[in-house]
Amino acid sequence: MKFPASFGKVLRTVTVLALATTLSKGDNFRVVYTRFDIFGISNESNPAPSYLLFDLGEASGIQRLTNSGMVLFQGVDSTHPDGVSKRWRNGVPETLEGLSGLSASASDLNEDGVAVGYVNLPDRVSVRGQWYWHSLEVQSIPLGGTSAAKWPAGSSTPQLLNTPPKFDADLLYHWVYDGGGTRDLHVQGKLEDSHADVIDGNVIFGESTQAYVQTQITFPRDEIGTYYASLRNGYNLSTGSALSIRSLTDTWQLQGDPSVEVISSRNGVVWTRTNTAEVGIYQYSPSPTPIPENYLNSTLLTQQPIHLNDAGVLLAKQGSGWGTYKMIDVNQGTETTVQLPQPVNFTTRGNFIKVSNHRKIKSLDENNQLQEVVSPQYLGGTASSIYGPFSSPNIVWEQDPERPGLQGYAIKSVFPANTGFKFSYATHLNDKGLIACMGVQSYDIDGVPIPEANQKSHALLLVPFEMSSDFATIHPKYTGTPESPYICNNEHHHAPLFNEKIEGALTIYHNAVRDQNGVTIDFDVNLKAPKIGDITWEIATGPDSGTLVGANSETAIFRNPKKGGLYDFNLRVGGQKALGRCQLWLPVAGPDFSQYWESEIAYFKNTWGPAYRSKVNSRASFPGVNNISQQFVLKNSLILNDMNNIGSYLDWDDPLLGDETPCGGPSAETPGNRLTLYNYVISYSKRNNMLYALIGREMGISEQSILAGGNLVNYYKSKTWDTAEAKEAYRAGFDIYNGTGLQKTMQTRALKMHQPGAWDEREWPSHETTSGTLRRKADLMLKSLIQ
Amino acid sequence: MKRNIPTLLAAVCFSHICTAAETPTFIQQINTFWKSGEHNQILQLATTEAAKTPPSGEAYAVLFGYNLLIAGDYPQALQFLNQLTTLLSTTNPTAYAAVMEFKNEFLQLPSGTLSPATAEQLTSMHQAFPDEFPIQVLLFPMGSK
Repeated sequence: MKFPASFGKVLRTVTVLALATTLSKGDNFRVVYTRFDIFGISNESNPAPSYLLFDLGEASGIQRLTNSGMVLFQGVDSTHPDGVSKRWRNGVPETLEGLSGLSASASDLNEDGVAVGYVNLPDRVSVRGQWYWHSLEVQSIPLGGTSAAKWPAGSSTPQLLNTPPKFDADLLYHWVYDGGGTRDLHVQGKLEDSHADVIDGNVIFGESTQAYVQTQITFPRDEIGTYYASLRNGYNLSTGSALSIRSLTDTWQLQGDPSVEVISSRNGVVWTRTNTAEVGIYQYSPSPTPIPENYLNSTLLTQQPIHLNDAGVLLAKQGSGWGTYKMIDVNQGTETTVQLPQPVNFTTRGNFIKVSNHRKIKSLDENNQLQEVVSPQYLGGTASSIYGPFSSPNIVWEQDPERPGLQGYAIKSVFPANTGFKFSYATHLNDKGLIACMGVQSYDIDGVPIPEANQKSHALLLVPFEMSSDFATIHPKYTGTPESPYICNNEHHHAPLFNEKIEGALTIYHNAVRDQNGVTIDFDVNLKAPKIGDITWEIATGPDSGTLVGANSETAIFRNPKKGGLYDFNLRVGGQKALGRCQLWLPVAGPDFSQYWESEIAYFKNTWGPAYRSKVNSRASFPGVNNISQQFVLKNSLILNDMNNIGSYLDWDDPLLGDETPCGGPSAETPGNRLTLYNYVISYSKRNNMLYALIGREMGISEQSILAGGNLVNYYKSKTWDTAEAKEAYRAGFDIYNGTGLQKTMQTRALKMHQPGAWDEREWPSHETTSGTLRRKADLMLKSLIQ
Repeated sequence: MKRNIPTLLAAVCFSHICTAAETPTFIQQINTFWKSGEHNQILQLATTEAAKTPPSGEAYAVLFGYNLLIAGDYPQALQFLNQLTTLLSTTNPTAYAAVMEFKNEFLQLPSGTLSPATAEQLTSMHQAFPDEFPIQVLLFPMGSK
C-alpha cells in the first residue's frame, strides 16, 4: 500500500474536480487580453454588437451624436468659457473656427456633418472721415453681436447664414454740434443679430433680431465739416425673437411667429415653445417653405414634451397625473399612452431618455411601446455587459444607482479595472447603436494609475461592430459571475485568459472547420462596422495566416485562417484607431511535441521494454515453484503488480509552451493542457493513456487486460466506464507497440481520441513545434524496474 | 481514464483517515491474511464471499489462486476459473474478454503435477509478493486487487 503518494494523488484529484467545477461553464466562457495597450469592451459578439472605443480627446461635454457617427461637442462649458466648439468627424477632431479670432458656438449637427450655430462678430464701430485737411479720430465702441453660421462638413471655417448688415447711407450717420466745444457724431443704423439653433436635414432653425442702433462718437475738435464715416459692424440685441426656416440653399428670410422658439427638430418634426410657455409640435413638408404657411400638422400640446428622438417620436408627459406619458409618433400620426412606475423624473441627454428612481431598462420598440428589455442593467460593476438594448434605437435606462445625481448612465468600468478609463457615463445613443459617453481616465496607456488630482475626463465614443461566421459556435458573453482565469502557469499575455469579462471574441472550434481527415477547410469571418466615416480594418496581432479582404469598407472578410490562435483586428475611422480590438479566437492547443514523444516511444520500445522483460524474468524465478501453470500465474501477477504500482504515475506533465500557442484553452477534464502531435490535438489523458498502453504491452500485459483494467478502475472510481475515446488512446499505444509509426497512428486514431465536447475536439492544432520535454512523472519507478 | 488502482486504494485509505470506520474490502482482508500467513483464512473468507448472492468475481479469482498456488488442486482451480468466466460473461464483458484471454493461454499450458505448496514454495511466493495475494493476473483486468 503506497499511502503517501496515493494520499497526494487523492488531494490532486480533489483539486482537479474543483477546477472542473469552476470551468464547467460550457459555452459561456470568455477570453481576454490583459495587455495594457489593449482596451476593449466585452459582450456577446453575435448577433448583439460588440463595441470598440474611440477616445475623442475632448474634455467638453457632447452636444450631439449623429447616426452617421459624428459628434458635436458643447461649445460653452467650464473648460471652454469662450465658446470654442468642436466637431469629431471621420476620426478627426475639428475646431469650428470663428471670425477674426473671435469665438463661435455650434449648437447642432446634421447627419452630413454640417454644424450650425453662431459666430461672434467684430464688436466695434469704426468711424473715419475727413474734415477739410484734418483726419477724424477713429474710435471703437464695443457693441457685440452674432451671426448665424454654419460649418460645412469638412470645413472648420464658418459661413455666415445672414447677409452682412445693410445700412442705409442716409441713416448711417449725422453729426450734431452741441455748441459746447465738443461735437458728437450720432450714428444710426439698422442691425441684425442672429444665431442658428437646430439643423434637421437641410433645414435650419434659428432666431434673428433686427434692431436700430444709435451710437455716439465724440469728436475731439470743435470743427465743422463734411464727414464721411463708414459703420462696418455694429449690433445691438433687442428683445423678441422670430421663428425662421430656410433651406441651406435659400436666401435668408425672417419668417414666422416671432414668439415661437424652436426647441428641437428631427425627421421633419418641430418641437416649439412660445414665450407664454405653450408647446407645439409641427411637421413640415420635405420641401420646406417658410413656416407657418406649410405646417401640415400643428398641434398645441397639452402634454409636456420630454424628448424628441431622431425618428421624430416625441415622449411627452400626459397632464399632471403621475406615471402617464404619451409616445407621439408625429409622422405616423399615432399616439400611445405609456405608464411608468412612480416616481419618475424624465430628463434628456441626446437620444437617451432617463428614468430616475426607476431601476428598469426600457426600450422603445418598433411600435413605440416602452418595453422592459432586461433586468436592471447599468453596465455597472466591474464589467461592461452591453446586451441587446443597445441594438434598439431608443432606450430608457436607469441612472447608475451607485452614482446618484450625475447625468447620464454609468457604463462604469467598461475596461479592465487596471486599464484605461473607468466611471464612464453614457450621454448619447444613436440609432446605429453608437454610444457617446464621458469617462475618467484613471490609468495611463501603460496601466499606471493616474493620481486622482490629475485624472481628466474624456469624451468617448463606443462604436458597435459585429463579427460573424457560419462556423462560429461560441459567442462569449457575460455571465455575471466572476470566474477564475485559466493562465496555464505562464501568464502569457498572448494567451486568451479565461473569463475576465472583458473583450469577448468570436470563437470557432476546429471541429467545426475541419474535414474528416482533420484538415482545416476554407471559411470566412465577417467583420462589420457602421458607416461612420472612412472605415479601415487591420490585422493587429495574431498568427501569420488568413487574408483580410475589403479592409477599406464597413464590411470586411477575414478569409481562410489556417492557424489557431487569437487574432486581433483594429478598426480605424479616418485616421483614428479604436482603442479596443475585435477578437477572433481559434482556440489552439500547445505546440507540437512529436520530437519528444518519438524519443519517449523509442526509449520504451528499444531500451526500457527489453530491459524490463529481462529483469522480470530474473525476478520470476520463484524457488521451488516448478509447475508451469503456477509460474505463469505468478509471473503475470508480478508484472501486473508492477503495473498496479506504477500505472497511476504514468503521466507526462509540465506544460510545453509555444510563443503563440502556449497552452490551449481552459481545461475541464484534466489538470494538464493539450498539445499537438503531428498536426492533431491530443489531450493530457489521451497522450498518457497511449504511452501507458505501450508500456503495458512492453511489460507483456495483454491488450485485453490493459483495456479492461483501466476501464474497471475508472468505473469503480467514477461509476463511468472508459469512453470509446479513452480506449482509442489505448489502441494507439497498441498500434505503436505493434510497429505502426506515431504519425500514422495519429492520422488513424487522433480524431477518434477526441472527447466530444471537450477541448481536445475543439482546439486547433498548433502551428508551432517544440523541442522541449515533459516531466516523466514515474521516471524513478520505471528505472527501478529495470535496475 | 486509466488504471488508477492506487488511486482507488488511496481513496479508500483517505476515507479511512477521515472516517476511521470503513470496513476493509474483501481484497484488503485477503491481503491481510496473506501477509500474516493465515492461508486457511483466505480460503474461508473467499469461500464465504463466493457463496453470497450475487457471487463475487474477486472471490472466484482468489479461490482459483488459492487452489492453484496453495492447495495444489488444479481441477478445483480450473473450476473456479470457469465459474469466474461464466460470471463475467453476464456481468462484465470488458473483464470477461481479458480473463478469457488469460484462461485460453492458461489452458494451453501443461497442467503438470500439483500438490499442496511446500514451505519453500510459500516462502518463495511471500518473498515475491510480500503485500498482496499473488493473483493480480486476474484482479488487474477486473479492476481490483
